[in-house]
Amino acid sequence: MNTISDLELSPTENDAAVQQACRLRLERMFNDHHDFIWRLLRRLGLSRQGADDAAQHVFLVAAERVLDIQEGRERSFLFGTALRVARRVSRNEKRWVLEDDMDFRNSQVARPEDLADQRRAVDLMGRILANMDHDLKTVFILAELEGQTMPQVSSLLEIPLGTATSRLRRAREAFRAAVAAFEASLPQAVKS
Amino acid sequence: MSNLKLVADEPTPLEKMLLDASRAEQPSEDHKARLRAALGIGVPLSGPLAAPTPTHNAPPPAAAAGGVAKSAWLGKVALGVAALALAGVLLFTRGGSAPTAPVSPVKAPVAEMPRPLAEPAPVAAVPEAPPAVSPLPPVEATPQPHPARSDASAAAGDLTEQIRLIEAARAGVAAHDAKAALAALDSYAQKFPRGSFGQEATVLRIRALDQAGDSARATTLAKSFIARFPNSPHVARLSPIAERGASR
Repeated sequence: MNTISDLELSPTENDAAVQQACRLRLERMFNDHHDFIWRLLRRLGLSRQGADDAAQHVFLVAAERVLDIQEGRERSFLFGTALRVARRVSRNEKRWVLEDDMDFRNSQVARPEDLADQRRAVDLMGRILANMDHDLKTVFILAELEGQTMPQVSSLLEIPLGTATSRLRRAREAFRAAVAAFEASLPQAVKS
Repeated sequence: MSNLKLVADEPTPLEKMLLDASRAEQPSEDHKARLRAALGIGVPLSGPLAAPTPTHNAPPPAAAAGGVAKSAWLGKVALGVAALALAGVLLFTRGGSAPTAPVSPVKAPVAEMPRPLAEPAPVAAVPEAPPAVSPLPPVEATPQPHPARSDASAAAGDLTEQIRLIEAARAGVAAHDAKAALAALDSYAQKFPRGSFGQEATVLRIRALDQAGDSARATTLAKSFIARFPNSPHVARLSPIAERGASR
């Protein structure tokens, strides 16, 4: 099969080849990383529609800069772009912003059994993540929800391994405290 | 030190329920299909590098050589997104048949981008590619060259017309009106032999042919399509048509 490098192309053909290569690379990035980016955006506090829109932003940025992205750094580029897009969108969307005391009054969950409805469980999880420190939340998402190893987390965030490990420990503590706060907020009759 | 992962305490049932729910959440196929269309990926290859199956091994071209061509492609991407947003058309998922009803749009985010997208390039700036090397029967490749346009508004008009024809074909298939669907697809192929929605046009043609009872052509096209685009979201829908032919 011919490749770009072994074809002698006219200027017009070369332009077409460049377009084709850009498109193929973007498609590979999309296939390999889109779902991860979408889940990341969702867990950073965006609604499903917001995550759809933000993912579109991220990949349009990637399309614009596809020739600037280093081979092997695609995930890192998309990840960083997604964090920036999510920060901007979250400021407007305010979907899961909680009061300081972790008030669950706005949650649709009234009883633990209600969490069997996945949508409600996701909603509560989103509220918990929304109240978590950004750095801790990012590590928690990557390690606990995406199942990445600590070296992978450390590499993606470009932080020392010890820092990543420490953040995960504190993120878990925050998560457990939030879940405990939720359980404590339930009416006594429901808990017993 | 490799593969280090903290050993977690056993989560409580409630913690596990929350974690599992969050882990299970995925983007919808509708969103992915629309974004693919907006990005201009997952459409049939054309030009000198067209191959029976897409390859992901092509090395990246030199940036210096790629600027102009990439801008042209990006112009198409941006234009495609904008046109889809303007038309308010959902190409892949809507069950209804009214071709002009507004639905959940693919937003045009150009103005909100951290960096502005390249200005939509005039269609005339996009180099004309040689006829596609396609294993598919040439049903979508009627060699009627589309007149070159010289401005972006004309290109946007083209995209709107493409969307209209594809929507008409989709509505025909949804209504089991194969004749109307094929007429729209013939028009699309004639006006836009290298249109932005060639893949979708082929999928619709396969379904229309199948509905019209032309199962032999439908099967041939379906097999070629699946061989060429094995990762397409349309494969699941076309597999029964392709396999039905294989079992005969």
